[in-house]
Amino acid sequence: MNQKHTVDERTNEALSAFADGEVPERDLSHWIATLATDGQARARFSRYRLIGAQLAGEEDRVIDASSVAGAVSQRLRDEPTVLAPRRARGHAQLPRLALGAALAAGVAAMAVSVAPRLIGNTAPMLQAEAPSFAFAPRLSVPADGITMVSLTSGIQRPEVVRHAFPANGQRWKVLSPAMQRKLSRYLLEHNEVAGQISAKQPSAHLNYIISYDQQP
Amino acid sequence: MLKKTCQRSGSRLGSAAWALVLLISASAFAAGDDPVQLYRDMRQAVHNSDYEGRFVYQVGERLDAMYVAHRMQDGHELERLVALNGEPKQVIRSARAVACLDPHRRKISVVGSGAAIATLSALDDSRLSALYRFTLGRKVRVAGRPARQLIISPRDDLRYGYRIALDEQTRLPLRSIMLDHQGNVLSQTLFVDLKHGAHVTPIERDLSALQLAERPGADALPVPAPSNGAPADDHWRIAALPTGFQLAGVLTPEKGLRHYLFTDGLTSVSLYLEETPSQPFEGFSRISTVDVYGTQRDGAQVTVVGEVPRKTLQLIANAVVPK
Repeated sequence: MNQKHTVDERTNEALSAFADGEVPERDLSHWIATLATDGQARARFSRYRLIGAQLAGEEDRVIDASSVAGAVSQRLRDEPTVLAPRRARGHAQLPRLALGAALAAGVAAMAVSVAPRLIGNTAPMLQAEAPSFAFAPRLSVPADGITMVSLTSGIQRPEVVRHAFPANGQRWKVLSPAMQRKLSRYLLEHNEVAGQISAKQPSAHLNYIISYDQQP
Repeated sequence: MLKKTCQRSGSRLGSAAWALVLLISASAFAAGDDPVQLYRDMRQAVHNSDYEGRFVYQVGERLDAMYVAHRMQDGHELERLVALNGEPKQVIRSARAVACLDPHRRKISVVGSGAAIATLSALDDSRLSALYRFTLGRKVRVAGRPARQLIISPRDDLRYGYRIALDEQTRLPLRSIMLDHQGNVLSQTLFVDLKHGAHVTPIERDLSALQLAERPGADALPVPAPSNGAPADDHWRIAALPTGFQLAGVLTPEKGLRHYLFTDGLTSVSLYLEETPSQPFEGFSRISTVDVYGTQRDGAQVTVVGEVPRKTLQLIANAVVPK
């Protein structure tokens, strides 16, 4: 474990949820403030954004700090599903422009601090990080055949959720997007190491690649 | 004239016989082939050869078209797996990492490469025959190529079986069917075309997104080094495992999380042990053909993942106990 790594897994998941628009309203201000003040959190967020932008062929927008704030605000206005996908039911909506402005400010600050390191960086690649922004397949909880019992067992203890799901599911049938992300990451890691030991198919990652495009 | 005819006939016969000899010798399979060795050959081919092709992947009623390109570069595997229908997702593997990219949703998952696990001492797969029945099936034709069926049947209900059509020339799995112990098809892959060797398209240039993910950053983490046994500071021990399974290695993806890999030589199961779980859960879940089982033990979250019957997942979950 890198000693400099102080952003713990819970923070990573929350940041990921924040990027996906899945943070409850009560936590929004906290994570906006975190992005504005925590360099490591911004670095993670920036990495996610940069990769996403590269995939979309828009890396210049992210690396050019002067255009980042406007680009983010514009994208939030034009394509809300990109940075603020559909929220889980029960999560209140903040006024979009206010959130956009806060995000834009955070990303702009991020770009100023991160972009110089990325532009023209010729240092050898480091080894890959653990997945700070794992996939978050959309929540899918079909009503049939599911039994869910929530056990609240004390104020200090996290809630344990019991699941019993139909056997023909194609996706993780769990309630929490964060839990889905965790299981998806486990699956990716498992496929990779298990695939080193045996080989029965053309690729070890087939089940992962089909795992997250089915809508509820 | 008759002599010439005989000579010509003899020549034709000789040519035919020689062609037959060539055909037989060129055939990758012989009657005495050891099916277990053929499985090992297939494993070797999947990991260490260059190939490229399109195939279909079926799970239940779902059918997906896929493209895969696999190359060896400086002794390391490079792989690109692309979904050809639906969202253009892809998985890219390099020596250092594996990334799953979703360009449409702008999402990416990156984990360390599993190559490190391959550096462990060679796993003992001599017991494969005790756990599975390996038999050679009939000759078949897949993707326009001659192949031979390899049938791998489990000897108990703790693991799944496979029916694989091995390419005669390359030993690659042209068709692979996974079955439960009752013979029901769980999934299958089927190549529709295959290129190999020097004909494979270079994929190095397609790794740019992965390289970007690997760029130095303040939060970059090293790939965890695997160990053959439990770490010295481990508060857990491995009790009785299901028949045939052994511990292949232990990784520490992050602080407070242990990843135990168990294998019977053919299939593998991962157990994740989270000392202070933020999202505890109990029960089963499933994605595609992979089941997951979660349970609590001494305040820790135990999550078991694998393409095995649920009964096996539970047995493995029960095998990790506090010291």
